[in-house]
Amino acid sequence: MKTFQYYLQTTEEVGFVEECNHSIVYASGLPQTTIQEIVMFESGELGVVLSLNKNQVEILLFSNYAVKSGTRVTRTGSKQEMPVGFELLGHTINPFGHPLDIGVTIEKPKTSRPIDINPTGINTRKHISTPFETGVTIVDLLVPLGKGQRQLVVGDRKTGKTSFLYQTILKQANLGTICIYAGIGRKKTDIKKIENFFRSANIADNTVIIASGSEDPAGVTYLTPYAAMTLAEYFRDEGHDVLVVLDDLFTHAKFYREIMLIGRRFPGRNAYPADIFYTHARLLERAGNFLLQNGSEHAITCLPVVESVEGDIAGFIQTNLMSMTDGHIYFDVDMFTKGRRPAINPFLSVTRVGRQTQSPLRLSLNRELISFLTLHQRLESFSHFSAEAGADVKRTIEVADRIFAYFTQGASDVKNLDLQLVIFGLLWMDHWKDISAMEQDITQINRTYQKSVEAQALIKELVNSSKTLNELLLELRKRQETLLNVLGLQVVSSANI
Amino acid sequence: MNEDAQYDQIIAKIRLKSEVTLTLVCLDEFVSNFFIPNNNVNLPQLFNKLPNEVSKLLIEMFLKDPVTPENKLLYKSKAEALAEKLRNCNVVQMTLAFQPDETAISVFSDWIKKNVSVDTIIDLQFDQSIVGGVQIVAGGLYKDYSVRKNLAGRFQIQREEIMAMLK
Repeated sequence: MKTFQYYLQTTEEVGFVEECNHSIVYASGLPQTTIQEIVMFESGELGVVLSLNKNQVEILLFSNYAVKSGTRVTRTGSKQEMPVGFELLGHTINPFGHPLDIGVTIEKPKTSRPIDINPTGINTRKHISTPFETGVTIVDLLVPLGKGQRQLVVGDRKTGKTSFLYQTILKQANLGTICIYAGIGRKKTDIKKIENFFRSANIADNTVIIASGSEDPAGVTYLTPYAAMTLAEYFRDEGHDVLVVLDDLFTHAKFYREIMLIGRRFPGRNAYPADIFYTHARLLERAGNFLLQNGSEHAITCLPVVESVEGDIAGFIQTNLMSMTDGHIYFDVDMFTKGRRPAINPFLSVTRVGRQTQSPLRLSLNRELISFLTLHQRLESFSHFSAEAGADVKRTIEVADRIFAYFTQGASDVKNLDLQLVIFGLLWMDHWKDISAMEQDITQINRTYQKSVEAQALIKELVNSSKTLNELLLELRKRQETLLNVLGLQVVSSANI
Repeated sequence: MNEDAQYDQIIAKIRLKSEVTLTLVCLDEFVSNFFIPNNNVNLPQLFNKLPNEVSKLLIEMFLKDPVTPENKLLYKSKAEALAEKLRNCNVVQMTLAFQPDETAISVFSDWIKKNVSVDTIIDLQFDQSIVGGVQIVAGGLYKDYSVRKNLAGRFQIQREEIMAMLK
């Protein structure tokens, strides 16, 4: 940015601060200013024009310090923009592209883009057709996602949402997707933790963290998700698939409410302004699967996060976001207390476009698994009455227990999709009777799979040669011995479906 | 003479923003004083703080007849109407490199009132660093006719010439 005097001499327009109310400033003058234009105060602070009245201009201040009444303000002639470029990869920046850490310098990118733009129209969009791997078994098998999908992550605090996001970013960054994490109003320590996680997982070069702290001005926090989308659009246009994590939009809504209430907007439901739906919808519409001008297809997959309170997912912001996304993953606090990790409730989670991207095998497995888990849930509710369970019921409950144990996953543990299918096939064949033995074997399988090219090739071949779960099971039975040998497991003769 | 004409006459005599502020203070004091029971404030003395011509007009307007309980409210509404008009005056901010004397201020004001409008007043600022000339702010527009700016422009051209020569 240049100096106040420079902009004053260039634009030849000046205004005077008449009133300052927290982060909202009212100024007279500036006759030619437009909405969203950046303005500069004599004291060096920046702001953005929010609205224009007959005699006054309403400005959102990007500073924690109030400006004095009578201070001069001038136009800059530019809209809210942020520098965008590959130079930002591996850095933690604020919505204006400045590094958050003191002493860190980033080579300034040559290009900059407006932060708040309208989403592109339907003619630039393509059908979502490529699967999106999260590396989390329960999601990849039960709530599958597609590239370009907007999937809400909803749940109470401390239910493992962030771990899921870490796993997804880890998986996608390793697959070459550029991942942008937008921390909205987060604590500095949280941002540091995320930064350290990316560094320790060696994925920092494929990620950018755009963060605003809880102590930052409300205006900066408000801009954070928009800045993340702007950067994502840049990488998309440069020919990359992008994952954007917006953590979280509930905080964003609260900051937006604060700004609007100070700006004397009429409060609506829960005191949120009337345009809160528009504000979020306009943001999330910028994600999707896009057809670029050069004919290539690239996606911005978006995972907005929203916190629920005491398991209530019917809150205003939560339901708003559910209706503007292509599904949601629900983290259940009850499941969390029962020890399920991740505590995803597959019955309350929804994916609207993910299934269309699945291979026939995965679709078949998904159907089978869902109907089995539904049956199990029904039987489990009967078992609460202490009724004596028959052999079939007992077996169903045992298999379900093994499935849930199979779904259990550590916070930094990401799974390969093909391997997940084969392991599930073995599990479905009752290869394991004992959960602890199964867990040991799965650890062994994962380890072998990482190292053995032969194992990788065999698993790929098995998955590619099957179109349904039954076909996979037949294939597994046929080649069980070879498979177990390759995976370094003991051969068990009694495998029955 | 109707009231509006009287107000315009007063405004025509006010040249500076500081005079507007002072007049507003006097009017406020004037109105609040005659609502205090048994007060012995010398009301004409209040207006003496103002420039002679303004003071004379105000005294003529408000103190021709003594303030009585009957005309109190009428005076109040007159004072408020005048205050409102004063608040809505157009302001032209002029930054000069020197402190102008009364004659110079009158010359500036007369010129502006004659060529722009009678209800335009000057907000005079003093800044030695502009060297000479004037910086004007009116209606949110800013124009810099200062010597400093001219010199800066000239120096820039010279710098470019020197750079071109050295290259």
